Amino acid sequence: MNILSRMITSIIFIAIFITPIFILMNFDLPLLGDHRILIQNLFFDTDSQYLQYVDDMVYEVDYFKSDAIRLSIYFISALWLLISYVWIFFSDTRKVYRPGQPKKYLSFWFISLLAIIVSTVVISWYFLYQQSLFNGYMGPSQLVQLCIFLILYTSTYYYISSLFITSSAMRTSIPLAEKFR
Amino acid sequence: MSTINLFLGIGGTGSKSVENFIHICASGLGPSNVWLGMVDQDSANGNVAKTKATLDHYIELRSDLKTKGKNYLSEETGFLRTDIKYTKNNYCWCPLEGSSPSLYELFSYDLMNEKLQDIADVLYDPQNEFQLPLDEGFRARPSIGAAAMLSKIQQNDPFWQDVFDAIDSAKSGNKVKIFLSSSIFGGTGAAGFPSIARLIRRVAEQEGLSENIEIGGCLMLPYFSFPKPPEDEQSIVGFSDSFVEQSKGALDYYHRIFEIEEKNIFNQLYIMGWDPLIPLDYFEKGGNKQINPPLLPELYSSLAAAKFFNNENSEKGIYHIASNNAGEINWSDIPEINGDEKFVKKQLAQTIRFALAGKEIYIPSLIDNWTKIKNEAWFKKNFQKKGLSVKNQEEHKDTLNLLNSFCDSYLKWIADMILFSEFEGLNQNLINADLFANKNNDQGTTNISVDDKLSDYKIKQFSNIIVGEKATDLSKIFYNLNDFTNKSGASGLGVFVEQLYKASDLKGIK
Repeated sequence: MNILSRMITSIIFIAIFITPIFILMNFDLPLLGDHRILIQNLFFDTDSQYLQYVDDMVYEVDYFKSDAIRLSIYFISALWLLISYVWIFFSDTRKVYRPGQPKKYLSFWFISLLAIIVSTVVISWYFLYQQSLFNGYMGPSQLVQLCIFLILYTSTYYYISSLFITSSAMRTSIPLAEKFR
Repeated sequence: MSTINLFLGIGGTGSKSVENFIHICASGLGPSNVWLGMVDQDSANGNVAKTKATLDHYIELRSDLKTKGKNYLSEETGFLRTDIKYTKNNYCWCPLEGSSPSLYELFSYDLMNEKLQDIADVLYDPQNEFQLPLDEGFRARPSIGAAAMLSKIQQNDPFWQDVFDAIDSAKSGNKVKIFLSSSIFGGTGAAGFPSIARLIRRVAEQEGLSENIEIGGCLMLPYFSFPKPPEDEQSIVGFSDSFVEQSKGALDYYHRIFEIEEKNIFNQLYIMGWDPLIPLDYFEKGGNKQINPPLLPELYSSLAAAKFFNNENSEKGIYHIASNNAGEINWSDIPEINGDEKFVKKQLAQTIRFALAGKEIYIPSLIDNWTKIKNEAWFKKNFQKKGLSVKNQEEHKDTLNLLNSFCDSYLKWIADMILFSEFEGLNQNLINADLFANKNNDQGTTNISVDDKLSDYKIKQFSNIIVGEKATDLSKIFYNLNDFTNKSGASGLGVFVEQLYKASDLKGIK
């Protein structure tokens, strides 16, 4: 695959991984119980001081969706795309010319994995927890759960995506890649 | 109707031309088939032996890599394109084989009548030339060689039988192209070149086959010089100071034959010279120690042959070429062979890069252990997906070793040609051979050696080997090997060799 195809592939993988989250969080799907996931999981404290003047729970949920969740998803998508492209360009411009040499770049792949995980968690923490507007909507235990989920989800995305967006010459710089492709 | 090509190298320069032509064929510049032969009285000459070794190497490697259903390089690849044949056990015809006669014995001087003896005494020096042992060549005396050669060419000799069989095949409509190459300033070559050409043309005319038989030739005027031989050998060997004088006499003689007496002998005649002469710093009068390095002018003679063979119909004429700038040679000074001015450069560059990448990077990995590389994409693509797995390694070891040594000898040929030809009177802007070879001057004698292992600096300079060309580097070759799938019909080890050859193109695989 040439570089352009791999850039397009990375967009496809981001779409595959982000779309379910987006659907889950943004649409009032009866199948998913309307907003109950949000309400139950995020609004842990319905007696929160910020809710006492709000009569309409749905309005509050919409507000949280548009200014916190949706924004964080956009930022995470952009971040994933950026890091994927950085990896594509990085791996394509290494002066690798000898069999066995790509394995030396294993550590670089782990660094990029760490970077994508940390940035994703930071973005989520900022938009869903740290923003003063929504401070208190999510408690520390929910944040920990969310972080664990994000670490697993981001790692899965990045590993699978890397298998497809890395040039075949550099594929052995991804752990266990040779077993799958 | 097919075309049968024959290339005859006559004398020391001729045998070197044959060796150069083999490398030209390896680079994809030769015709689809050619029969090669050498004519040299000094058959133990180091140049002949070296050419024979190169010939065997080429044929063995080609047979290993051109076997359909096994290892097969497809027709898409120029590498090893030419099917080369030669007369088994008679690759070099020696006019006076099996003895070390003198001219005295050859002429049966004692049996001549007095008048003939007087004539012979006028033509040859009774003290030196008559007693000269001829087992190491005619030592720059074409008059001796011509007499010896014409008296010994026989149709039942296996070597000449192949030549005359080829001529006979013109009866069934085949086109036969015969190219002769020799120097004008030596003994065997200067004597054999016109004699053999006239003989072939005469046979063709007698058989009524002149239309289907084309004769081409390249005559090398003096292009190198060497130190004066020791005092005691000066009377029996040629030395370079006399080359120009000898050439002048020979050219006058050839002019009379080819332009006045027998105009139709050659369809194409190339005459090649070099000024100033390229100085070599050692001298051997003959025998197995006489191994002269290939020199740039000889590349021209090989390209002349390639042009003669590759063109469907040879236009008649005497050809010459001149350098654009005195004292330097650039790619624009290298002649085309098929109308495409960049073709020679492209093929030579591609083969040099292939040989270097193969020898330095890939073949050592493949000779070493396939289990170490079996998971890499380039190996999966070019080996596993084409039916070769780790268990096949042993059966391909010999071919890989053969390929490795062929790459080495190809690089040595190029490095010798470039680095021996460079001196203060000639600046070449073709190939940076010092990026893979070293020139040493031990005890006054120049030696060229190809690097066993390239330094990091030289590896980084890989893209600069071809002068004036922005070529791809080694990493691009590696990426190309990983990314592109071969769909040419190559099989076995041929897939990898073909893919590496394609990736070694100056611009890589697009």
